[in-house]
Amino acid sequence: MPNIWTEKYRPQTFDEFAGQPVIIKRIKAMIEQQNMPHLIFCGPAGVGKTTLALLIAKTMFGEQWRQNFLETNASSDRGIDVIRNQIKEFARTKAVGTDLPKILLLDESDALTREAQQALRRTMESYTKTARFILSANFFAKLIDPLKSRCVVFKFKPLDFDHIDTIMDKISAKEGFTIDDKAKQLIYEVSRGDLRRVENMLQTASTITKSIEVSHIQEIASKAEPEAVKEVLELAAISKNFSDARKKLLRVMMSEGLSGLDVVPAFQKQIWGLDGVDDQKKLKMIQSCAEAEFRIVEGADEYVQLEALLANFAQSDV
Amino acid sequence: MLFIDKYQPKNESELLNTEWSKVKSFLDQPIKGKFLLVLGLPGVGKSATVTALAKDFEILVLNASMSRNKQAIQSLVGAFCSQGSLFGKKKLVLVDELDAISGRSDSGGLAELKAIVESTSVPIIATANDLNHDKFSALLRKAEVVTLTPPSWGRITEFLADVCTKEGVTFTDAQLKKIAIASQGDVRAALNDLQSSVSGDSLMDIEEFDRETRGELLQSLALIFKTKDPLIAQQALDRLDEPLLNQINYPIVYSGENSVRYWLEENVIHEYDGDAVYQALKNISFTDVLQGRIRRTGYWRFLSYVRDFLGPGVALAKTEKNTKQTPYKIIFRSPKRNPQLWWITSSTKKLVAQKVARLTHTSHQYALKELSYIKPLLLQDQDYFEWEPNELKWLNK
Repeated sequence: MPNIWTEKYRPQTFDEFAGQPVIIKRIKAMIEQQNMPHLIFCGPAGVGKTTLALLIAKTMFGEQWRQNFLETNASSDRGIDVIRNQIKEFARTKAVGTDLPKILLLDESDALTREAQQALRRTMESYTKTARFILSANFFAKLIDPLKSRCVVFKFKPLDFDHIDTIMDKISAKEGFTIDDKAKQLIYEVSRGDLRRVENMLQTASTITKSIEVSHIQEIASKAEPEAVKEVLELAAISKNFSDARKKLLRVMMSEGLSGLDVVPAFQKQIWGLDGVDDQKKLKMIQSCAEAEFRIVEGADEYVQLEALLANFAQSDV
Repeated sequence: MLFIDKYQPKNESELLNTEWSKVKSFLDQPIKGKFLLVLGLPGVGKSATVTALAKDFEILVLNASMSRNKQAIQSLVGAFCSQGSLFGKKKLVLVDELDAISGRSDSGGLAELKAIVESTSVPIIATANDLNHDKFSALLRKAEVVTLTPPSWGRITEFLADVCTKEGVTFTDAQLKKIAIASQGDVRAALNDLQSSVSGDSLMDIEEFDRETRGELLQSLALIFKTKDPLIAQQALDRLDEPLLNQINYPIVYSGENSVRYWLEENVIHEYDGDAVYQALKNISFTDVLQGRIRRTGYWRFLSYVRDFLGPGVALAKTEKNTKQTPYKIIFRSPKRNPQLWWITSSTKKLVAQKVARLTHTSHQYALKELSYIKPLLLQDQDYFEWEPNELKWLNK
């Protein structure tokens, strides 16, 4: 039994599942009729996409769910060949102990290239007798149309405060700690409805104290934002030392495992808090962030875009 | 225009070597069944000597950038030798960089060349740095050899002074002497160094011209960083399109780890000051956007804009006040980063993130981010995560 709360408190039945009432109702009906099509679960992190897929597998296969359920993550298992082979190998054989098709959860499927998505589409068609796919994705638009048309699409919404409040109360009662309302509100704001993050922050705070206050959450939240990124920003924008900022950025990205799309938003967030920089200039810096982020999304190599952004920050006057 | 193109020797009086007369006598009286092999170090003027002396000839040039296998040589040389000249000129086949003929992709090329030497009446001249390889031995028996000795630094200094006068650039003898000595007889390198030292109508004082890192690429970089003429910057870039002999091998100009882009990116910060760094990086980063568009659309025309923004874009980023003029060293740093490095993070951290991702049904990337603050609760859960000693050590750090 895991102690990490994201696993310990992962819902084991549909009744425990928080939010998404319409989706739950439709899924339950599909399982009862033993007629589940391919599915797309779309929505931000920590709203229950993986949990729901696990629930479906557990409900359909009971004790034998592990043999008949495969979870792969498109962004972790980067090589499409690995995914392809693994998926094909799993999908082509019949499920154990049941006539129902196996279930394949492909997490972050929007991270797949267009070519990989095309390949996936063929695999989905070839093995419909033995397998059903659940594609989970953060961004619906990044999936190709042929995939969308082969699946029933469910769009998950971020959890609202009431849901998260209820869950926090339930956990605090079971784990024996208290948390004040301000702290709850801050957790909700920082997590933006990502329940996994809510639980991780709560558990981290509970290792420090049994009566959680807003200051504890502030401390954890600041750790969640890499401090080193702030130092890079200050080296460029305040010390005007582009050379050192650039060196440090490379080191930070390597050691923290950050991508360009982690770094730019972190800059964006911290620009307003910079000391001794004129507000008009801050606005221009944020504009540059937007441009850099667009270019990273569109371009080829993120590091050169980040360099240009830092050089922009380090200009004598923007 | 690049000095090395502008000041190509046009006739024998402009040649800096003393052995040209042997080349001339071969051109006047070719020896049946033999070809002339012109040997010499890079930049000593092998091709320049031949083209200057043979300006009245119709010349077929076979250089290293084209395929020189049996079939290609047969069809090119065959057609060239069998047709009468359009202009009633004498004909000449120039095999440039003979030593660059490759065994594999140019297969049969050397044998075909030998056959042509034996059969044709058109004079054939080849140039090479060095033919110390067994594969050339059969061909060498058919060769008349002339070796060009590098001009002395005194001779090069005179030549550079002449160029400066023609360009209206003021100079001191000490400046030119430094360039000439550093070039070690490589006239091409000397001209490139000269052009990259020109600032307005005078020469910059350059501390040291580094010999070790010399190569076409570095000469082009120097030109781009030093010139304010967009055309020179463009030409400096274009020169790299053709594979040139006896240089470090940088096959790809626009993409790949060793591309000019990374070299410019790495060195701009050492070459420029202040806002010029930003302007240059802005232009370099725009070429990256263009590369992405090429990849997605397959529309290669965008490459021409990449060329504009890498060459002139970097050259024009500077103004007088933010070029580091003195002291100046032509020593460039090779790009340190491998563009694909992002996923090689500290290995233990990576292992921990992978384990967390797998056991909590999330992605690697998400787990990496959460690691910044959830270490304490991961440590509490030895049973579930089964931490290895090295992972525990990292978590406790």
